[in-house]
Amino acid sequence: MRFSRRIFLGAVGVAPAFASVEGLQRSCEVLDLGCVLPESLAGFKTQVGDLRHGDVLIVPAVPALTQAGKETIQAWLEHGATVLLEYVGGARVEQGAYFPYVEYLWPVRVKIREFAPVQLTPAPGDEIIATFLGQPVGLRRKVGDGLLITLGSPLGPVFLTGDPDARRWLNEIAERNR
Amino acid sequence: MKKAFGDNLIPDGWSLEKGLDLIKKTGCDGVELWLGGKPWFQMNTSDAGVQELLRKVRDAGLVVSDVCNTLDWDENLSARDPKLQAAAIRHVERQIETARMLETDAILVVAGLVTEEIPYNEVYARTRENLQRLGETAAKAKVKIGCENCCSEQRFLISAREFWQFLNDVNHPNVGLHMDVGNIHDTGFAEQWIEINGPRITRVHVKDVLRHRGRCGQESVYTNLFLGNNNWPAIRAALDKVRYDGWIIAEMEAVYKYAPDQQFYDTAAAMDRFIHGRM
Repeated sequence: MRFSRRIFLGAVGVAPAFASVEGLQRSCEVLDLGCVLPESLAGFKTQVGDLRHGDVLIVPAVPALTQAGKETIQAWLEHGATVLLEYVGGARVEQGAYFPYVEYLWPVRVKIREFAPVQLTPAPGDEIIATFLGQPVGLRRKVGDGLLITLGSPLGPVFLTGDPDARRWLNEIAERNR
Repeated sequence: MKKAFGDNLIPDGWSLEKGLDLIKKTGCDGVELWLGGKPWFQMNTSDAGVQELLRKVRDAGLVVSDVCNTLDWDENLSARDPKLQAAAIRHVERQIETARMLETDAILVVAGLVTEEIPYNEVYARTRENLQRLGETAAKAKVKIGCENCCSEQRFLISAREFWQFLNDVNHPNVGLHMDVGNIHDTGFAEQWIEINGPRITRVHVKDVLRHRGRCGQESVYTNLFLGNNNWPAIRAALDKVRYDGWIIAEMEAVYKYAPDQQFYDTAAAMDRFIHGRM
């Protein structure tokens, strides 16, 4: 089944609250909820040591989520966390001449190397936070006290190439949830 | 960003004043002066002569973007012959001196030439050591030495990562990269060079490259902006990414058979579109 953000949000909306929310500590975690891009997982893991002050869940490179995965994300959001979800299951943004950068508009304006970006379709309540060739590839939306950020261009691999702008962007995300 | 032309593009037989007037008419802000290139700027040009150069540049309503040289190909910092090496050091020192006189803060050198007789590792070590010493001289003069990526002509520092490592080894804040986006040919991509070496870029040369011609044959691999294989939107975005906001300098071969001044106008218009991202 094609996984759209609309479907995902509907699913988490009806999911039962995660039973152990009270047990969650302020932290930054990278969770493999079906990651299909090991580089992304590895890249984010190089960063979490610097993000301990945040309350951030990072879910690298998933083409779809299981019910358990959705419930985990829902629990973090209800806890007021920021969830950074890399979604790689959509259609690639088409381009003629190659262009290398995704334009991030929030929380800081930076250019970061694209990584096979997929186009995201904003649902009501979504704000576009990143574009590639004018197409939305990054969205954010408030979910309860939490913030769900969906990226269609995986950021994790970029950390392995040492792009300071990618680190800055992630740090800003974490700082906002301090 | 500001735009300039190298004075080496001024047609032979033209006076400096006529060339500067043309550069100004194209809407440029400055001129790049090549030590050893045109008759008006040679190693034997006196300090008074350099002051006179500056006066002419000012009278034309321009400033000097940087000081290059044409001498490195015959006397390089990597030369084995101590006399040639000393001559190379001397002309780079002269560039630094004249940069101060000409009120600019950057020079260009082609640092290191690998030949059949002088192997890569020898060139690497000698060039690094000489640049470390010259970096001190440049620091005192508040000038930056930009080593140009001449890649396949130099047969040295062919890749972006190699250049980055070399500058790490030189490890001097006054030694960086004078980035020529037309010199990468088919061994890489200019935008990646910019991204990797970004903070160390002192100046940017622009021209386009016809990759399929390689380095063989008699046809030039170089051409005017937007006619070759460079990915100009990507290059512009990369400069933006590394927050380069300095000089964009046309350094190209004179390719117009007729009306050579037209190449200046066409190139200046292309540079404008490049700077403003209208491509």
